[in-house]
Amino acid sequence: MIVFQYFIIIFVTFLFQSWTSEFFSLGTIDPDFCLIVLLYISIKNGGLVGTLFGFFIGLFIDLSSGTNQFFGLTPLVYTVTGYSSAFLKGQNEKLNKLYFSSLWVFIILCQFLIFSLVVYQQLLVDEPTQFLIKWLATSLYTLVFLGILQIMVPLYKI
Amino acid sequence: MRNLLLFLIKNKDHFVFAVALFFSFALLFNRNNDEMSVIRGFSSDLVSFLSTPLVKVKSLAIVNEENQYLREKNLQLNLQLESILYAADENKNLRDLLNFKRETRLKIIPASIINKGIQTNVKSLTLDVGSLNNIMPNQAVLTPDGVIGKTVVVGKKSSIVQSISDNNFRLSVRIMPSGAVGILRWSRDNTCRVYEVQKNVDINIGDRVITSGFSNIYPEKLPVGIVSGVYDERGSYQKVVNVKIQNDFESIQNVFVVIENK
Repeated sequence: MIVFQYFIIIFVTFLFQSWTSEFFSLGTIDPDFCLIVLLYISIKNGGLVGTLFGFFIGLFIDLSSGTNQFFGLTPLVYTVTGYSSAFLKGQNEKLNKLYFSSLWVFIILCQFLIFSLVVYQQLLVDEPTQFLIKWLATSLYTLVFLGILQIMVPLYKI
Repeated sequence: MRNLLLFLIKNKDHFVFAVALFFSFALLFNRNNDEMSVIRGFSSDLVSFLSTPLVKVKSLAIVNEENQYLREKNLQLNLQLESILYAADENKNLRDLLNFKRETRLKIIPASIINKGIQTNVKSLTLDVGSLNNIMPNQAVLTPDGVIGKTVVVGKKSSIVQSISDNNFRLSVRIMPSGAVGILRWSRDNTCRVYEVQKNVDINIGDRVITSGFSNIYPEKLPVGIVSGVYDERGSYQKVVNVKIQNDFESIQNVFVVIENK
């Protein structure tokens, strides 16, 4: 039953991502709503659920729209993100709010960095500044949405 | 074995992570596998099926905007079409004028109508040529479709033409092929009447009406119009012939002035 529940969440998140990313798109930069949901689920439910959720939603994304060149990259990156963010489970009681928040921001920046290093490797070689802009813009755009969510559902309190 | 199982359960997070990583790398390194292509094809169909409602919703959402755009585009295209049609008509008229000028043996000068009906008592046209262009009073004005009047007042750079549609305009004409002659005057609605035509002459609808050449103003054989009706006058030895003028006075823009009719 729980597995089914998570598959429903994966499915809904995927639909939301595919239906709304065009609306929120800024040129070639789209917000990653799947990552936001993954972060919440990992921090709330821990490593097992976070890892599996990350793997399957990444797989779902790659199966639906991933390019053949990097097929398998999204499940890999989301798995790492789900696993690493799960370490923040229960840490809100031990860490202060700023430190806790800095950690999940760091995880997201790392996630986008890994993704960018693979996908935009040619850009990194040719124009490192453009690569930096691309990486930071993509990360920050998702972080903006995540920041807005902190007002309603703070990660620190889940 | 039991210890291994306990170890795996205890470290299930890390174990699942390792398995997920393994599968992710497996996918990454087997992305060109044929079986993988089949699975991706199937998933693509599934996603396409799931995306269909979104496409419909999106199409509904943009239908108003698209409608507005298409209306504007339609208007623009209509205006362009009108402009093109006008240019085509103008081109045809100018070609006709050019052909007429090439073919005619008369010495003629092209002119443009710059105004219509300045004088209240005379149905007139104003041309953009005058005495500087060798224009004089009482010179025939015509188009390839026929006579439209004569010059009555000539300035240096413009001249006024008494139109065939003026009630006081008279023109000696010949009806072909019978050769009957008569005096033409304006009636109404692009129709003139020819009086003084002998009753015993055979005239039919569709006969051509040309200038007779009896006048010093109009050379002979200039087209005037087509017979559109023939009526006997009661108690008279003459008949009245209705003539349809081919020129459309509302749309004429360019004419010729015959400056020498020999």
